Amino acid sequence: MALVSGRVRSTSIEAHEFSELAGHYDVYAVPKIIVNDHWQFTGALPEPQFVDTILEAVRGAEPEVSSGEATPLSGGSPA
Amino acid sequence: MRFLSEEDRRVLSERFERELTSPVRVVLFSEPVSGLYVPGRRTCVSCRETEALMTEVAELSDSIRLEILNVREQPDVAAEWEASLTPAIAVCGEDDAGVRFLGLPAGYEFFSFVETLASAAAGDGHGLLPETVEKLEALDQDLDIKVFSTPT
Repeated sequence: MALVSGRVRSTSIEAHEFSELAGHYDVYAVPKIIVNDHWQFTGALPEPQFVDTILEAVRGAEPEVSSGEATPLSGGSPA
Repeated sequence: MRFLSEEDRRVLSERFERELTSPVRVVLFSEPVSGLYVPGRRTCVSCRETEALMTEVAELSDSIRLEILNVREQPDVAAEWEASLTPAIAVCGEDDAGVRFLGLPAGYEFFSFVETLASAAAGDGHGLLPETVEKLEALDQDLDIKVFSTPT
């Protein structure tokens, strides 16, 4: 996605090697996705749902997919 | 020690031959591992391995341009690329595309890495659905996506 859009940065992080970062972002299960250091969801999603979950989160709408709901990091993250 | 088996090398060479139709830059931000423990300084866990793996991969295609930077010697360049943690790998065409891998891309991450090489060489969002490309083109804000994973 980052390769297509100049507005997107994507960083893939090895959670064991960067355990401090993983701790900072409350990573207990992988894959864990953090968007704009605020939104988070856990689990791999098919491409269309992945994109929609991210876009709906940053636009402030409730994500429609039940399997990958993005929640704020600070607002009591799901285990 | 080699990371890639003969079979891996053969399969990857063929794939690169087919898909890397334009040059791809792989910029690795690394640092020498001295074996000395320096208080307050994070020791790079996998810099040596990542350098070895990237060198092996780059050998498989003339389209892959591997650049290895020592972040201790060139902290300015590392900061410019926002790659002060090591090992960090940037994959791009000519200019930085904002794609980073932090840590040794082993296991399943290696496939993501190879996919990214192919996408960077294609330069047109190769592999993404047309509707994804459409949505990305319509973005009116910046997105920073971090994906935490473990080698499996």
